[in-house]
Amino acid sequence: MSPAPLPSTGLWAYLATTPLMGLTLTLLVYSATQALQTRGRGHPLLNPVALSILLIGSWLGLSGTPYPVYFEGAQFIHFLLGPATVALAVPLVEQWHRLRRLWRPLGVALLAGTASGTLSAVLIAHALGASPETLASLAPKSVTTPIAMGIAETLGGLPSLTAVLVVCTGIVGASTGPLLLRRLGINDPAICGFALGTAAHGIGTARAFQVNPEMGAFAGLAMGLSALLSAMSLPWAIGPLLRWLT
Amino acid sequence: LHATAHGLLAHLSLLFIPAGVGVLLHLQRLGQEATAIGVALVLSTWIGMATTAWTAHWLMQRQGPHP
Repeated sequence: MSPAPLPSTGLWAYLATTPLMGLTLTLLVYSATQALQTRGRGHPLLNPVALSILLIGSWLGLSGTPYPVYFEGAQFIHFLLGPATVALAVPLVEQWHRLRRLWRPLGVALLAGTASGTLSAVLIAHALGASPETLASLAPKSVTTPIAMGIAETLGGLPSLTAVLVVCTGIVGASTGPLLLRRLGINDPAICGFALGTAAHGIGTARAFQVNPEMGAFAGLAMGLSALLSAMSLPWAIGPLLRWLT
Repeated sequence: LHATAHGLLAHLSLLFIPAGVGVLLHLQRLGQEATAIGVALVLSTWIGMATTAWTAHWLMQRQGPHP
């Protein structure tokens, strides 16, 4: 697929005045970045989510378009996240036979991965002089956005800062994760997917689905389980640590 | 159902773009702590991912091949 041609100025002037602008812009940029990733053989820096966000963000900044105007059109895409979350169950059911015998290793891996990811984030940021609010906002960064924001609030962080950090974590994990896992010599799609979902939530899961549905199924499972585990344990496990550090 | 679910999930990346753009506009919030946050975020993401993968890999090898 080649990048979509740029719309002519006349058509663009028309689109810019309707909610279709956000929708068209998002779809065009996404298909272009997707094509670029295919041509670049999946190079980590060519992650379509990261590139699209940067390109659309710059475009909005340069053209002086306020975010709500863009979102008026883009909301139709955003809305699909709901059905997509439900759809995550389908590939998982198709992997049921593997899942049934892997639940014990995966459960322990989830605990170890969530604990090490959260602790290392808080401790490294503390060592580099981050403020208490920042530490509390950083702790739930590997969890899917709405739940991460809730956890940050409980810990005394800034939910809106957490939203930024969650997206950045997702992009870092999704773009560098597959290469990291390959370097570690992990080739099992179930393990790679599970690690991507644990560390990089939905954006990592999206990356896993680009590789194959099996990897995606385990990533989606890990994303859900890590959100559940973090929501239940972070407030009492990380709360005292934050008070002790500051 | 299979085709619909897999079709939607193959383009899951697309669905994160609108919210991601909104979040990007708040990047300046990071301010002077940007370096500490950036280093902690990247390293801890790698640590979490590697730990998850290693633990699962090690336990599955111990479990051995299934009959």
